[in-house]
Amino acid sequence: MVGLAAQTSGDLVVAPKEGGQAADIGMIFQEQGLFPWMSVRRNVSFILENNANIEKSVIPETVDDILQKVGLSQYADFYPHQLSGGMKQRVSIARSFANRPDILLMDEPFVFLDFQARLKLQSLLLSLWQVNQKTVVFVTHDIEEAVLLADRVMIMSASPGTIKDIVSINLPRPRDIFALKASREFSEYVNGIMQVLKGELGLPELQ
Amino acid sequence: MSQSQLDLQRLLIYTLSPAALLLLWEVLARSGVIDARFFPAPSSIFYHLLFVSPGEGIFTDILYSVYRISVGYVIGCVFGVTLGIAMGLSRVARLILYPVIIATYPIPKIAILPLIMLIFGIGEMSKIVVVAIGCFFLVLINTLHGVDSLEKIYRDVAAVYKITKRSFIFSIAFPRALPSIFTGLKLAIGYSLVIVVAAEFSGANKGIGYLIWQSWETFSIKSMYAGIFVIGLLGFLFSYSLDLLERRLIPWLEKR
Repeated sequence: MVGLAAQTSGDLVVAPKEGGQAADIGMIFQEQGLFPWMSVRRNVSFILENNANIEKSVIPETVDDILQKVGLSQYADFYPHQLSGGMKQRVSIARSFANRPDILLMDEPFVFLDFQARLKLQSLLLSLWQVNQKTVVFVTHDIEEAVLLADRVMIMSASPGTIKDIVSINLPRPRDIFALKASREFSEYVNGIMQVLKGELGLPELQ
Repeated sequence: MSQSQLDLQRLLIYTLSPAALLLLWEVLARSGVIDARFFPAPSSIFYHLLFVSPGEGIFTDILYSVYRISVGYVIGCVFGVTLGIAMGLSRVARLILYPVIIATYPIPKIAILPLIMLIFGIGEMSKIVVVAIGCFFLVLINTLHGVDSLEKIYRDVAAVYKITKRSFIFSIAFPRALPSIFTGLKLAIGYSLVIVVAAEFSGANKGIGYLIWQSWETFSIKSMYAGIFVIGLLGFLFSYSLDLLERRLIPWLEKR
């Protein structure tokens, strides 16, 4: 979708703008997408400086604002190697949100985080989305994560990777992760998706 | 501890092992275990260096050698870094230049000194050029290695965020290569001392190499050692300064 891998077949139509201009797509990688030689602040401002649609004069303000939103104001002058995995991923999220893409692609962004850091970042993503509602395409293997965050879950089969089912998640927003996880609707969605995946796993029948 | 206190502490520790070596030498020379005609006691060499050598014009020699090294080093390093980055980022540049580089790199630089002296004359220029050529290869190869080790993820990030070519070179490729570049710079500063002394043996009438060669001809062992000590001292100072510079310029590397 972001043009990193060549497409094998078919067409990809992504929100064409007027005049045939392609949509801006941001991307958050699994890990290590930050530049180790730039401070936290610089990692964000560098991306913004390379975006022709962003006025140079507003960059410092935008950077301060987004770092505050992700709770990293105090760490603005730290280098990535001084941060925890969760903090690094927050910088990644900060820089892609601040860059104002039309669509944000997140490829298993929380997969290397521990349970608590993952909860924290899921909440952060929900609240950032609440103030800045963009289309986010979020790839994950974690069904609960999918149900917590998404409006629509597309279940994909393993090789060939085709869409097996699409489930709409009709849970109200803004969402509170902890209340949601305890709710009956949440479990029902999770179980429903589990059932779809069950056949996919090809498990042997228990005797 | 602050950074400058740490630097001072490091400098003190750095001087310990050379000092121990000199002390051992002193004892062996004074007790007659080693022949003091060939290995005069360090104290007598220092005395010679401080009170006799200045009269023999050692400061002029040092000045000439340092001048040749600095100019040649800077020229060689600038070319080395520039071409290394160009070759690392441009496939065309690499395909054209790489065969030439690996074919000319193993030629001993001193072997082409006579040729360089034919082309640039016997003056300062030929020494500067031979130092520059020596530094060039070491810095180029290390810079290229640094650019080559740029992880794919940074290219992907640059592609996704549409980073401009210019920003990619100066803010991604160059800083990523900087640690390797410093490896090249440190190798090159030591090597430039080797080259300048060798060049001064034959084609100069001033410089530390000339001083050592002339001392050999007059069998002035202590003057010879004075020259050797100065080379060691210069090597120490140059390398130590580069270490300091490296720590200032690459604050993002985890401390060793």
